[in-house]
Amino acid sequence: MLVSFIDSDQALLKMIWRVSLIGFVISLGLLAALLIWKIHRNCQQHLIHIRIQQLKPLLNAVLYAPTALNQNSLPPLKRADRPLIVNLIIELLRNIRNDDMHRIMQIISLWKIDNYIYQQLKKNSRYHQIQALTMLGYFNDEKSLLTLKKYALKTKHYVQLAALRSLAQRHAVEYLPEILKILAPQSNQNTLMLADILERFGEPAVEFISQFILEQNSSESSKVAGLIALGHIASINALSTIIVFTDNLSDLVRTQAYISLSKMNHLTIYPVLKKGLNDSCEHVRAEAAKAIGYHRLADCIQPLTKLLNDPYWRVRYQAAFALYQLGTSGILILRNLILTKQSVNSFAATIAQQVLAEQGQS
Amino acid sequence: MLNTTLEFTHQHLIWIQTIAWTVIVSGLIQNLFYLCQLPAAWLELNQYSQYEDSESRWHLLISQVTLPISILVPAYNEELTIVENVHQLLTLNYPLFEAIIINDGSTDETLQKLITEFNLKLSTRAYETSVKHAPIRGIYISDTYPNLMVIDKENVQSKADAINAGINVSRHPLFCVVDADSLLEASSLLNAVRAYMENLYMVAVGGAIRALNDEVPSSTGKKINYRFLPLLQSMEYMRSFFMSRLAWSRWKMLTIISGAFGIFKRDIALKIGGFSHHTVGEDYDFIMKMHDYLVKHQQKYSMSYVPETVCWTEVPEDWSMLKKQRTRWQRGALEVFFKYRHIFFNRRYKIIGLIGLPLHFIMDVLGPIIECVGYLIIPFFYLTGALNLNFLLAYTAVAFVFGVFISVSSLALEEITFQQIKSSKHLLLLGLIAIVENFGYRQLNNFWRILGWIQFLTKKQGWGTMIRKGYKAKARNKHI
Repeated sequence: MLVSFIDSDQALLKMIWRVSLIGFVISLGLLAALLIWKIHRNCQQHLIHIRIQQLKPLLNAVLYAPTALNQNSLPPLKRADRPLIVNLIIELLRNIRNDDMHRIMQIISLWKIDNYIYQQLKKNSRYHQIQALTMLGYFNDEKSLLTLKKYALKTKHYVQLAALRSLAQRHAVEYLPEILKILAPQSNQNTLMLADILERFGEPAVEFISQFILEQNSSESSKVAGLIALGHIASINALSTIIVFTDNLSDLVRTQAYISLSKMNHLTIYPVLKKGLNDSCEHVRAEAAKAIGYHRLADCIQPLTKLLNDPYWRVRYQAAFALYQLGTSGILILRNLILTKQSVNSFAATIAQQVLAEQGQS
Repeated sequence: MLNTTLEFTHQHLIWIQTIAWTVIVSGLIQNLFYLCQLPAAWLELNQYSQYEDSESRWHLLISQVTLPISILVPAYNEELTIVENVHQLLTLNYPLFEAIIINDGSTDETLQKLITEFNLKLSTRAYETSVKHAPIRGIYISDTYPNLMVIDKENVQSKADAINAGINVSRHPLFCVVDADSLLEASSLLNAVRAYMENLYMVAVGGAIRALNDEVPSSTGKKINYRFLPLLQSMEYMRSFFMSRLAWSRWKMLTIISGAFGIFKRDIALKIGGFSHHTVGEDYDFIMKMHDYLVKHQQKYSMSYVPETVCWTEVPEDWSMLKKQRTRWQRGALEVFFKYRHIFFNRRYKIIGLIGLPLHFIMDVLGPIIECVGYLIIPFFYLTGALNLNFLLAYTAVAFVFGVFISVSSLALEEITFQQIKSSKHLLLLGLIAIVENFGYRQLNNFWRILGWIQFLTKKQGWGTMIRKGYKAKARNKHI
């Protein structure tokens, strides 16, 4: 048994160094392959760079040429040029005006880049899909719209967002309910980017975004995204929905609801903002104070003054700044606090001093 | 003497072989662990890589939802480079940020140069004092550069103190700490902030640190000079940031975010009292403090590592500087392990306490000790005949050879995903370094870690001096 133990011992040791040796040899092979790949890639990149320098002026010339565009007037495009042209066009589209956009679309059609874009979508690569979906945002036909809808319903998140962004660009609000139903329960998403995209749909989407965040299975991220979008759209029609979320259990959601409310100007929000000054979450209190100052709600002087002794500096600061924004009455309170500085009011006196100094009123 | 030695080894053969097996198994476990990190890193990159989504970066740039960031830059006696550094900072590709330079009681003309160059004037900006730091002498703002602010404060020989002053004065929900002589890539912030947008409970995001001075243009600018020691560190950073940190992030066990570049949530930093003063591992300590606080307060949170966020920094160019740095790092790590020993195997801390921190301890603290023991005893006992050739070969394999596969794989991972290395020559050099570093450099680092142990046990303090040569201006070849 001892002999067999020693033998297995030695066998194990042999296996260790042999496997390591194989690993070493594989490493050398991997390194060689990497180098060859690098050299090849660098050559390719160099050629691509040269070609891009040739295509840029060509594209600009075609775009700004005074002649009408047709198959005969356009120079032929090689297959290998298509991905480069797509990149250049996407860059152009970010800065272009309407007339030029129409011409770009013509160029795309005449060079048959639209077919190429649909082919890109079929690839499994996120990069190609996102690029293709971005381009489809500038098309104006039914086929591209349906394609965008199809990809907006998929669960590959950034591909989904790219499709949704393009739909927003096309103002295709009618597809939003179906897409948002898929998005609502998703917690793994880019909340802020989604909010940005939803905002781009504008006022016509308010009803659908409200439904989206009111869904029972709507995740916290979805609620926050929707609230941000509604806040930026700042439609009065969204007020009642946003107000509902000022009582939400999640601090994050409540805070966002108050931030969104602060962007609106309507009588119904004032008591809600006042209520926010007593919230358990310091971020909510700070946002409520900030909004009250922005809207110059003079009947909130008392609760604002109380907040000057809040344990959180940011709350104290927003309350003091809000008092400052309320004008003479607020400034007077701040000055009095400094003059009658006592230990019980030290927080209040300090913040009053800081805010007045910052505003050049010391 | 020789007979005595031989007799000793013969009498204690079992013990010697047990020790040898311990060393070999320990090395094997370490290597297998690194092997497990490779696929985890690959999966993390595949799932979360932003490299393929340039559209999002553009839209973040023009969007009003992108979170504003305060960039905190502690500066002490940086008169030679501070103006250029600040100019570079102000050109970052990000919609809304404030650059806060903290002049940490510089004895040279750092402050004066800033005031002159950027038309700074004293301001009465209100700021909180939640986090302790030495008194602030003045806060300066600029009408010409509205997103620039300079804090002048007293020096207490603590970078943490300077950062804390910056945290108090900043107002944005996120802050980022960058060394004065580091170079942030233009889109670093855009890449990093996406992690916060994806997860509302994100509290800390780390990025990749790369060596600025491993390839430096010659004085004529026509040739690139490659430097051996920085190349070694370049490879080491690559292994650390493109394999190890990605894997830890995937397994939700990140315990460190490099002090050279990290983005953190300001309100959490305030709640935990900012950075700790009396430690040389203040970055490590900060993350562990976050873990400790958030678990104790039962708050949901997340930490992540985003490999596309790149910060270029000058690495030590001579061995004595490198030794000081590595012993300091080890000292810092030990201070953290000792301070947060209550987290070890504590179920309350879940995966961090049960697996993360203990694994870090084994890999970074115990592992080097066992390896160093191996360097000494295994060759010796082979020569005395107590261990046969298989032992020696197996030991050589786990201590030296296996690491080559890990290093080359990390290099491949980085190159296939990001292609940050511009030239084939640089890639070839790094590839050779990936082999060479396992035969001497890694072992030297382990010895320095032992020195770090000794310094920790003898309670040595301080950072030592790092001499910087100012490579930012020459870093054009990095295409940053």
